[in-house]
Amino acid sequence: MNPLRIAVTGLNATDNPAPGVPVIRALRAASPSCEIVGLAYDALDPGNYMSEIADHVYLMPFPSHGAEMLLDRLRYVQERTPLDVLLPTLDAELPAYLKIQGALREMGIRMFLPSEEQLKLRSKARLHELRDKYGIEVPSAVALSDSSPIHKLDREMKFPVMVKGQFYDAHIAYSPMEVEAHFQRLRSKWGVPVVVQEFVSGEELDIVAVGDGQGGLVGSVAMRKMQLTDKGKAWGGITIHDARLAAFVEKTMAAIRWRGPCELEVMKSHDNGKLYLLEINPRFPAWVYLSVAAGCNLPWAAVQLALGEKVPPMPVAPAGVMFLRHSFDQICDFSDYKALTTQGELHCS
Amino acid sequence: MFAHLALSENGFLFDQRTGYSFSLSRTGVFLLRRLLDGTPPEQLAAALRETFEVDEQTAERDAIQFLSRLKDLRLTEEEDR
Repeated sequence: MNPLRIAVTGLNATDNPAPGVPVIRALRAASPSCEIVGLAYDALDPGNYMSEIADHVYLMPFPSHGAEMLLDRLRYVQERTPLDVLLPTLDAELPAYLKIQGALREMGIRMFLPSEEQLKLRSKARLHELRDKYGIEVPSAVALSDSSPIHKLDREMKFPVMVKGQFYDAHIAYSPMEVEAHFQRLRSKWGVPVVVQEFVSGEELDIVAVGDGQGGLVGSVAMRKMQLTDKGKAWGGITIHDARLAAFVEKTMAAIRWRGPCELEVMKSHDNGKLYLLEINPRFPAWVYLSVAAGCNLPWAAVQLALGEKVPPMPVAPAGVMFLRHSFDQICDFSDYKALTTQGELHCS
Repeated sequence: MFAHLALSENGFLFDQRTGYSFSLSRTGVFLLRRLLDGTPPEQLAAALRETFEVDEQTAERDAIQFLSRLKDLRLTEEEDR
């Protein structure tokens, strides 16, 4: 019997890492016999060369090149290394994967993704609808497609505010002038809309979760960041257990009937103690390996769900499981780099 | 009220709800241990005097300051707030 072959995207492992490497570590922890195919966007992604991460690596076209090109490349991958499951781990690639999921299924490749509507609903521009529809506390927000409404913002919102790119980046702004500066930068980097969100002062908490798509929560692990990079990314964290937060996560996942992995960013307000949903990221976070250490192997649960298996609800993750990220100089075989840059693929012997 | 707090013998305190940890002095460990064991806050000063050689005024002041510090650090927030 052939080993289960799973493709994972996002092998960047710099100080702003993609989730691919930790997802693969989680899969290896659950199933040492599975074979991993890394789908990378850059020959310099460190995950391409790490030992015991990917058995095969393919360079992929960027999501901006469109779904058709992605499908062509996956057809090529499938001919050489037939895949059973594919786990996309990056926000920007999800729309393309959603478009081709039917074709992939016909090829025998299964995924477990949110629906297109869920993906749109969790977008920063529409997140406030969760408050109106489901009573989930969300900071008020305005989605801007152009800069003309910015000068009126101080009449509509209390400053400071958060200015957020549609995919990534968030900056605090203390005046409409600062909003304008962030708007221009974020628009050129990530396109529109740029979202201006009410600033909630408090404690930021992060939750990695997998939903079954029926309103059920397969498992979740909550964490507080202990140290940050200059980009605000977790460089250390610790699991927490807060009954009110757990109920908030369950309520949110049930309301939106989330299917697949996600990361919830929640702010516990210092002013009133309320929990506010800041963002739903539609993929595993880069700190997802912490879930394995906390007894909830969520990436493996996603694989099982993709395969159509029933996954019983996971136990409550204990508080006090800690991680510290580190960096080291990965020595790479130059011939591997040559193979990846010239042939677009690399196969470990 | 304090189910979320884990206090080790060497004075390491972990708040499971927030992930914050603290180092307590010997007196802090004593006072928090009493609270965790169910001693009402208003009886902390008397408990201090029973165990340490300390006058009533100092015991009262230390107990109040300790309780106030717990509150500042949000360690005594109610679950349903």
